[in-house]
Amino acid sequence: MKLQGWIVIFILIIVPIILVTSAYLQLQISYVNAQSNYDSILSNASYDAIKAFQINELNSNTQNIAEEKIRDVEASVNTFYNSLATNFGQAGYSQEELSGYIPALVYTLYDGYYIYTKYNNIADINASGNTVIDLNSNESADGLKPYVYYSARYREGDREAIINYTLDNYITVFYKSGSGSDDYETFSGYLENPNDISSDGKTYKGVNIVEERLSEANITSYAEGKNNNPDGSYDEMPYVYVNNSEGRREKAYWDGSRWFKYNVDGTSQVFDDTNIINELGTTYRKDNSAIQYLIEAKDFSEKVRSKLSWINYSDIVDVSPDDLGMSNEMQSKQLFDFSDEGMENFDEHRKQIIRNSITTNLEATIAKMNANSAQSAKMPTLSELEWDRILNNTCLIAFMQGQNLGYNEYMGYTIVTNNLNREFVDPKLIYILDTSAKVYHDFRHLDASLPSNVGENLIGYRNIDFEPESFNDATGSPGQYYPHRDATADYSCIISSASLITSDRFFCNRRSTDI
Amino acid sequence: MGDTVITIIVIVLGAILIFVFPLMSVADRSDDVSQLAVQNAVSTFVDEVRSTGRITLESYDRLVAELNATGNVYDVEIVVQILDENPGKKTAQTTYEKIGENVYYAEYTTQVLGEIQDPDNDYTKYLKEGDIVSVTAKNTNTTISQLLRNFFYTVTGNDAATIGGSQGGIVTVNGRN
Repeated sequence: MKLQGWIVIFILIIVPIILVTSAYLQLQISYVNAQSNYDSILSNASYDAIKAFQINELNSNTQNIAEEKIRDVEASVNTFYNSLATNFGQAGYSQEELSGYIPALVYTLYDGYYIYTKYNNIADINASGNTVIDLNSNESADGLKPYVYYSARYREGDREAIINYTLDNYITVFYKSGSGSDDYETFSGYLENPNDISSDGKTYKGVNIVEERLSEANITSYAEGKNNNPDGSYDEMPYVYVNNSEGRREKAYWDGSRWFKYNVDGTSQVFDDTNIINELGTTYRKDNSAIQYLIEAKDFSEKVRSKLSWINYSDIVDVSPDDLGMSNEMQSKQLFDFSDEGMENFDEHRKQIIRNSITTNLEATIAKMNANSAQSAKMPTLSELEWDRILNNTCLIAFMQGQNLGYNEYMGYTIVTNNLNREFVDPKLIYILDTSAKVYHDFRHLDASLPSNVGENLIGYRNIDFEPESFNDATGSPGQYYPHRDATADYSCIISSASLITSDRFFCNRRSTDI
Repeated sequence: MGDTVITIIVIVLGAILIFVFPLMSVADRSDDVSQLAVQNAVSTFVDEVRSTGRITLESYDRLVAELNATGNVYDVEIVVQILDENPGKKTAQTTYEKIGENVYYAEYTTQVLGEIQDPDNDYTKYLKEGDIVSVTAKNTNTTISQLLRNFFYTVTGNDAATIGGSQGGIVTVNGRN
């Protein structure tokens, strides 16, 4: 055969191979593209859901009421689906159509979590008008499962305690001291080493705790400023925190002659509860909530020490210590040991409980999803880094699975942390406002940035206090104002975080200084 | 005679291998690059709207200029879903502006463009917290890659857009402040 012939044969063999390979590569590329596209859609929708949750919470002052929390979570779920539909370019698609691909949305909150998923126990009304619940029904609906607390049960002989943990050191204890039915006790509070706190609450680990003059702009002072000042500037109004009769914290503002608060509908009202009136007094006083916190924490922790020192880590029931990843050495230790090492172990244990609770419930949820949906769902393994985010913040974990990608089905999840909320504030997100320079700092930057005569000029506020507040004025048009209008964020610590030092070093350096 | 036919076939195949395949490959890559640029421009535009609460003529013009810089012609669709607080106000809700509980009504490209091109509106459309904005850009011309593909495969159809970007999300601030 001549050379041309060989060339034709060569081309006839090679070209199909090249075509098939390039088609295969093209498919792979589109698979990867589709996957990253879905990933970004999922994370966009989760981000939007958290943003809606934050804005709703910021604009409402009823967020501590349980039903209001459910409302906020459900509103956030709606936003998630809205955003998902928008991003898929399918605006108008209903929640039901998309929900088949969403096995679960987990909202981890301060002391527990909600899971939004499919469930079977739907109440129906039968022909005779009675409500019936068929637990074996094949029918399913989407909704929030009951709130699950981060709790654990401990038992030794007749003594039993259920402890509800939170993302910080606040715990609630349900304690049964014997076999009788009357010997139940419930108490809750913040756990601190009682030896670190002086009995008047004014010293903590050798650091003096002082009262603070908290102040911020509110709707009243904003409206006054707008009416009276040509440049629209407005003043800040002093306030203190008080506990109302339902045990919730409220802000009491001092307008120069009296204490007042804002109702849920935005109207202002003078306090009518005599206990609160007595506590506040008739003249202005500074906020002493830090001191109150320490006094209460000391009382509570001493009570815990006297009543619950019998609990060892191995007394945990309903879950085996090995499943929690406890070492043998740790199992024999006391749960409430207030030494530095003991507090660290307790913190580690708290995280294990939270992690175990979320994992167990999520696995059950996903198994249930498989029974209720045409799409099969799988439980992904979360990395340690992701768990770290979940255990240190309130967040949304969203799962999306089942879309056909050609080769395979999509399976993805995303975790969006919510570090702007009222119910839990990471200590690192308490900003220190330097009222003389009108700049606020991360507390880990105090050494370098501030003059040595710290004290009166430095006031700690939560990060959420620097966010704009929205309101509707008398005409119904929306507006917003900044509670700390003149305060700007420091570039070297809050904007760029370049000058931060670790918190351990900070405390070592500053331990003997007043803050 | 046989040799001549084979030679012609070899020349045709050689030409295809030497010119058409590289051309297709280069055209595809060029579309990929355009695709990236389009997605980037659309994302930047939407993110700006979300974080400022405003759609301005200036930012829209910038988006169109960035899209045109890729050498193709695009159809830009803007959909703004506006949070309607009225149903919430009619019922006894304490916070009627709650995002996620209320209904939305939509405004489309023509309405949005009409508003941002109007000097009375200061060439700006103001949005509020909770509104949803989504933007899609698709090419309307036929790119070289599409042309070649249509010629060889005749499967994509003449009007299938190959370059496109879309982005959407919730507005996080009130634009009027």
